[in-house]
Amino acid sequence: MAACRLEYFSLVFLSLRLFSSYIASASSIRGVAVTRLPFYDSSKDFTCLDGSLTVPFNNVNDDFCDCGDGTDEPGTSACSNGLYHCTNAGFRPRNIPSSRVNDGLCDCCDGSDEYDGAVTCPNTCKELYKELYQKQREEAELAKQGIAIKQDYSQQGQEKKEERKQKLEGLKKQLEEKKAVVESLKAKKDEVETIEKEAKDMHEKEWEETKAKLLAERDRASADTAFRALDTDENGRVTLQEIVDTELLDKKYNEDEARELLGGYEESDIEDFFSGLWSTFKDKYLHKQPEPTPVGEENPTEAETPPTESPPLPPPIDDNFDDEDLPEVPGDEDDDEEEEDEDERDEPSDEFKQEAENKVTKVSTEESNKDDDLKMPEYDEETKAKISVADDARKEFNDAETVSRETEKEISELERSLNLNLGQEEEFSPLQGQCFDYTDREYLYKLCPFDRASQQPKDGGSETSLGTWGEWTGEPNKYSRMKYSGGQACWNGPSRSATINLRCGSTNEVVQVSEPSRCEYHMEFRTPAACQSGDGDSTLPHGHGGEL
Amino acid sequence: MATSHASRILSLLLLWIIPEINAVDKGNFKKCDDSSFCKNNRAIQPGESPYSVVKDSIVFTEPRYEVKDVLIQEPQPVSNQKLKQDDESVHIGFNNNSVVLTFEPFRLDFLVDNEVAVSVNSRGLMNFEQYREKRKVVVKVEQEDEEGHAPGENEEENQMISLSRYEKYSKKDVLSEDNNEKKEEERVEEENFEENFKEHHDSRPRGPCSVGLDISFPGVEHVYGIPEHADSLALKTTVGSEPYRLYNLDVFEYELESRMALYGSIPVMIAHSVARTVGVFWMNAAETWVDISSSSARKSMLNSLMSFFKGSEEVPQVDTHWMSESGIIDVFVMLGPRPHDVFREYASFTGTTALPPMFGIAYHQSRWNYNDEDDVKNVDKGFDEHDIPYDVLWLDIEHTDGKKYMTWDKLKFPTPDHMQKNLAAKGRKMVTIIDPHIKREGGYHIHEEATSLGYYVKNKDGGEYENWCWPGTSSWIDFTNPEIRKWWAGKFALSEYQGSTETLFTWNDMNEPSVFHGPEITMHKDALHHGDWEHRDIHNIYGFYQHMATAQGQIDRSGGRERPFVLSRAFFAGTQRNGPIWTGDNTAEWGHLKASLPMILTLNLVGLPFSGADIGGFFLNPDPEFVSQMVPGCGISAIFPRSRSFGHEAPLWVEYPEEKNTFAMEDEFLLGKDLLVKPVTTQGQNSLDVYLPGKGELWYDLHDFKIYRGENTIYVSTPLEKVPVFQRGGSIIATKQRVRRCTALMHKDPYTLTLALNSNAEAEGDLYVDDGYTFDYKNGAYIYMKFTFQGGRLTAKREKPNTQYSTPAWIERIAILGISNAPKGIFLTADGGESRHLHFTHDSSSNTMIIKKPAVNIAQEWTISMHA
Repeated sequence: MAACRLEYFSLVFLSLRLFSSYIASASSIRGVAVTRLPFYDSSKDFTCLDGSLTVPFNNVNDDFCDCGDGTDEPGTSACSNGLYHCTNAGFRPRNIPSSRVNDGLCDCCDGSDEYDGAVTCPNTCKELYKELYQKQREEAELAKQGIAIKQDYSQQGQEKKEERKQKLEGLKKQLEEKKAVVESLKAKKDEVETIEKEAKDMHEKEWEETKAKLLAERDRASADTAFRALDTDENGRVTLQEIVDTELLDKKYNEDEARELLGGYEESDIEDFFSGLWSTFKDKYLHKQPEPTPVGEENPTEAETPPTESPPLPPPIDDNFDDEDLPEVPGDEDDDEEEEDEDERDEPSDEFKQEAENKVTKVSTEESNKDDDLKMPEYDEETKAKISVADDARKEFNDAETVSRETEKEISELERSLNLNLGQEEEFSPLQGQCFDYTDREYLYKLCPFDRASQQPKDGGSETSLGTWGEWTGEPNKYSRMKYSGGQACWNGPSRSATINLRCGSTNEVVQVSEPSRCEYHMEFRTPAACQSGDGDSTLPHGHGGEL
Repeated sequence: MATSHASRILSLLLLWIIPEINAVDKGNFKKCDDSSFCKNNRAIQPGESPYSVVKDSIVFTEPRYEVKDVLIQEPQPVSNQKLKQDDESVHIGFNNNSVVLTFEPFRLDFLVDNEVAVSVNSRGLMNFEQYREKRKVVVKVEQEDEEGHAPGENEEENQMISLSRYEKYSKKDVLSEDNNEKKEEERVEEENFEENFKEHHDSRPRGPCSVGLDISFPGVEHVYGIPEHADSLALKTTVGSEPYRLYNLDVFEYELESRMALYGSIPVMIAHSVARTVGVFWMNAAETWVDISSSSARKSMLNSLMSFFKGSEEVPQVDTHWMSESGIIDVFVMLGPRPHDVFREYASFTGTTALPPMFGIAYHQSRWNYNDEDDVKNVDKGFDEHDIPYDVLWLDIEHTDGKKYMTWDKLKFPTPDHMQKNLAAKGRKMVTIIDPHIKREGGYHIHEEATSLGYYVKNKDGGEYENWCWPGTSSWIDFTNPEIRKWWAGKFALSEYQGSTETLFTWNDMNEPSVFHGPEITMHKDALHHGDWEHRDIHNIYGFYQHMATAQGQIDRSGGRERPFVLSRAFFAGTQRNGPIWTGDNTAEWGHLKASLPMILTLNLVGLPFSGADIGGFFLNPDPEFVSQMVPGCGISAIFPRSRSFGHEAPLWVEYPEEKNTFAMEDEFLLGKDLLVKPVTTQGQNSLDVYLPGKGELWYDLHDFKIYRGENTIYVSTPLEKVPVFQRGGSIIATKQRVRRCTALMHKDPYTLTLALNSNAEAEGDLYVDDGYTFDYKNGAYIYMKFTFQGGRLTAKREKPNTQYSTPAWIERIAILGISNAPKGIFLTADGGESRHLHFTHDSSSNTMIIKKPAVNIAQEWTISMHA
């Protein structure tokens, strides 16, 4: 049927050729665009447009595909790779795949793609044009408003940029100055700290000496006390028997052990006891004498109660901790070392140390009063004054450094902003720092230009990142599309990403969000910043299907 | 294209952390040792359980479940002839075959061409556990000390033992030698009556009731079938490993090269050798395991049958052992002797593949999930913008209102009928998912009816069986009841299924059934179905019944006029009558693409040709090269709509049964008998070897029309766009080459006939044409054309002249491959009219000729003659 019809058409066109112009005859070739008509000259054989084959002109549109490129059948569905041209008079022309010719569906608005009589396609080109015209006018109006705003945006943006540049310059200058100040304050601080240190060291050294003396006295006193306690017959000698009998040692000693304690002798006088034996006895002597020993005379030995003896250790030190921040405490490190030595710990682990430190600190606060006399006395007024000067210098230095760092941060933020591509004329600048919401049935979407895109269930629940600012990806107009990538990963799939199509609008608004393929989101964002001077002009925009 | 199951939630966590994880957790599924009946049957030693045939058949004290609705007709007795009988056996002849029935011990030997082809119970593994009470185990006490310590732990036991005398034990009791043995016996008896797997308990109130039987195939080295497993086409020996398991299960991201059970079961095995092809159908719907081993036929052969062995050389044999948890032994033996004979015999009692509507074999588009009507509209539009054809758009569970099947989400899909009509305007259809689990929610009409009518499966105590599935707490429709199936079918009436139209079709997923908190993610075996049968008895046929009822619903909806289209995931023997199945939730990996081939070929061998794999995979995201190979590899049947044997993919040996080297071949296949396809299944492969079978056969590469000889391995390049396809010399294939947006739009398009000449310059082929969607063909509304090319004449004849169907489709082109000389002229004579000259072109470099526009209607008879 179709074949017969086509023959009829070619007859008509042959008779026309006798007396009409070339254009007139060629215009009756179905499915050929005017621009291509010169290739379809019915007075000659037809050569496929790829040059691969020449066939009699009768073969054109005879519902049989001869050419590999499908060009001999512009008006039928015979070639699977062919194109049919809809003239769509009154609207815009369009090319459709040949497979849509006579398939029962109306594709061209002029209805010319369905000519086998199976369906009747009304000509809708006029209506489409009207609709489009209307739409274009609206868009033109929108564009007009939009462009005005855009110009404003650009101006704002450029001003902002200039402002930023200047601010940056200013800040850089300031930073230099601030750094110089920091330097000088550091020098000053170092200087007064040296003085402070000298004064403190002097004070501490003196105290060390005093304390050593004091401790030695105490030790001697303890030894005396112990000797007296052990010397039950008060004959000025501690004998083997007295050792064996005493309850004051950590355990009961038999004779041999007692002799060993006495350094191989049967007895010992106070001097030998103190000089030769006390260091051994210290560990074993339990000072549980009923009567309290007066301070200064009969002090408990350090050995038995190391915690009470030890000064509070500094709190755990982290790397950022400055020495200056430590509380001024009496005592010094030597004490600690001594204590550890006495405990015979083999390189205690950090944990262990920590534990010990805690214990020590606790005990020392409870009992600190007891050992007031072992605390370093306050610094003298002169030293105090020096410390105070140093404190002031430190504070000044720290404050200046903080200010300088803040400036550095501000500079890097400014530089980032200045490096952002905010449009040809900075027209997107006002969008930076703003967020625009869009709500559908289930989710609240957020678009924060040049920052991130996200999705959050309306009924609560945590926000899901759809990506952070990536780049402009529009074609051919770079600024017509944004890409946000590296969002939260999908189960068994890629990480989420969002593509934002920008369209001209009189206000900033997310008008649509969809997920056309899994984990790839699309948003349509209207903004004056996207308005082009050509938007809404009288040229017809490209419709769906496009020029193929 | 499916929703998956419970583990999806689990995997959400797992895969998040370890994306490389191998997802199937084998520990969730039973091994043979976890199923006591399998373990017990497997432990039977050859000859240990001799059964003999008594004059009266076995009488069951209690009825046992017998599979119904799978056979399309009860087997009819055939005329037979007693050839010989003595005290030991009887030899009966029927048709051209015979069977020897040996009495003591019982065995059957089937003879084809006077050779033993199938032996039943030749190894004596037959087992039939009768329903019984739980046994007491008592220690056998012989003379013992008066004060003798009976080793029992408590008073009662001691008492019992001291009171007992050997002769006083009840017959039902089990005797044991000592206390250790007693404990062991008690444990075994306990296991027989109750089974625990993971946290699940099977109360097994009827005790052990398994059946088992051995079947051997003398002379055979290759056996096939018993799907569904992600394993090789030729089945492997199971000695020292797990038996093949048939138990419909929802397995998450299943593992390849495994005998683990998958979504469906067809207990049919085909044994093939150069000499013959035979098959067995073990009609039992309970959990089934099959052991396979190879041996020598002579070892197990009766002396009296030795004469039926020809020659003296060693004869190979495949031994199989079938074990089912309940039911009866009901075995069909198909004696061939050629592959197509076996297929015909099997189809004669389980039915042939239902002729699908044309759109059913086209490209289907599915994704998890389409968000709403706008999304559907955009996807549909996207296909047209990119000029990609598709026929059917699928909606997964999210389209429903709260996962209640046969409802719509009112916000996302407010106008479902409108949406379907928009697709239908382009000739496209829609499919919605409808699973067997029903949400237990007040006000949901399906639930309220099912509960008030008592249409749910019951738990062991008689209440409604409840468990967890996609919608949360759910119950399962008892499709084993014919009354319930009728009710279910009625739910597909357009007036019942709100928002449905004539172009809405169905997808039955999760119908193994998948039960999230059940043992092995399926239903408890002690759940009760129609007739008080346990789920244990009917498990493998449950999905079949849903599929059947759903298909019937669609038929009824159209007043019996239109063909249904229902895709099921679970299947059983006979499913081919209901509609298609697919191989479940595969992953987008090359390994799964490769594995889908033997899986689909296996399904074709056991009568289920209408099956497919998810193109692009369900899990993971495919890369473009993967999709480019997957689409042609699986969708090729859509390109060649031809006759009723459309898309029947078969291993090469089916057409070339004597070519031994093809017996284990699973990476290439025949589509029908005339096209050979070798899909690319390895990433980045740009060339491959193709074996072309058939001595004297010619094969034409359909990409460049090069000619190759059969019984030959060739090397072809495989660029991305090419799937190697070869047409057999001697064949004529009709195609439509104007690819439109969907098949409905191609209905009146013209045909191209492609003739591939054989070495005698001859070819023949046929074409079946009907309206593509109704049952009118049953009343003769179709055309069946036969084309023959011989002696330079091509003729078209109506094979069934009484059929009536008119179509505007015509013949636009005839391509002849393998024609070296151009004729002087070509003339066509149609319907006895004047002869007409036809234009043609001949290409002597490729030896091809194109005849242009014969322009005869496809239903016309005509002759084309060539004048040299």
